[in-house]
Amino acid sequence: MLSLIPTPSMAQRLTAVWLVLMLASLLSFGIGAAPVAMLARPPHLAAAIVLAIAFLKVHLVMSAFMEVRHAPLPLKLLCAAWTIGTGAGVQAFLWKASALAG
Amino acid sequence: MLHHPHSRLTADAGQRPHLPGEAGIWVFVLGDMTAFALFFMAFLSHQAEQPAIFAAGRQSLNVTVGAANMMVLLLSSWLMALGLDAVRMAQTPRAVRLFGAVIACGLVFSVLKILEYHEKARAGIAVQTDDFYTLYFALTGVHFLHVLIGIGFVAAICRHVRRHSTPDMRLVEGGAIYWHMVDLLWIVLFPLIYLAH
Repeated sequence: MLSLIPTPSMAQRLTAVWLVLMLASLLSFGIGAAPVAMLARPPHLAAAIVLAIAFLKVHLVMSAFMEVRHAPLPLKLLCAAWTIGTGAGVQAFLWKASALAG
Repeated sequence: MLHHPHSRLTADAGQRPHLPGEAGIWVFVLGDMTAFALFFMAFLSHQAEQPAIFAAGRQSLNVTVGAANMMVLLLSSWLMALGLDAVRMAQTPRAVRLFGAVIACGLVFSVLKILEYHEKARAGIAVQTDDFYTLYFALTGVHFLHVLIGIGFVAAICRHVRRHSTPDMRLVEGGAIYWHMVDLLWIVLFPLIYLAH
């Protein structure tokens, strides 16, 4: 029965990825621009969420568009290290700044 | 006739790992991304030290233009990925059209960027106005340079594909990887500079 479900073409997969990226972006704009973001406690929470979403988008671009998903393990690890390392570093600076200000 | 059929990756199961492009492009791309990562940290470090200046600077930014550029680059990455797929399928006219569309996106980004900088100049804001603006111009300026170089690369691979019935896939993949990097950097830069309070 499963063979009756058509496998998506490469173009369809790429389009699905792009739509997810667009939606994630719209979500970020909404969170980043929303007046309620200013009232969030802690105050940098909106920024932390928006940047976390950004690094998820980065992962998607690397994995699907740059084809790292099908790359040899060493490259996958290097790319993951950049995404996780930079993403964590950004979060650390945000939370540290908030601790200093608060 | 497919070019590098095993690299087309239509099915996930049992695929041999394939290095897109070649090692050299990845050394460059990851090195460049690491440099930008340090730049991101520098930006956040300065923001932690001067929150008022950064908050004020951010208020003056044109978020709409930044967001429009985000959508333009995401669109361009999608078109680039489709273009690479078209090359693998030996669909040269389609690939050329798609690469042309990527270049058009790059040009739209460039026009918007220039308009944004011009708006700042008219408001009397310059790179030395304060630390926020120094970092704003440095980060977005270096990124803009990458976009311009990227447009050049895409034009080069477009020409290559038109001239060669069996294109060098590593070249085409390499150009695509570079362009996706340009998109990826803005994915972080835009919220970092424009959205994050």
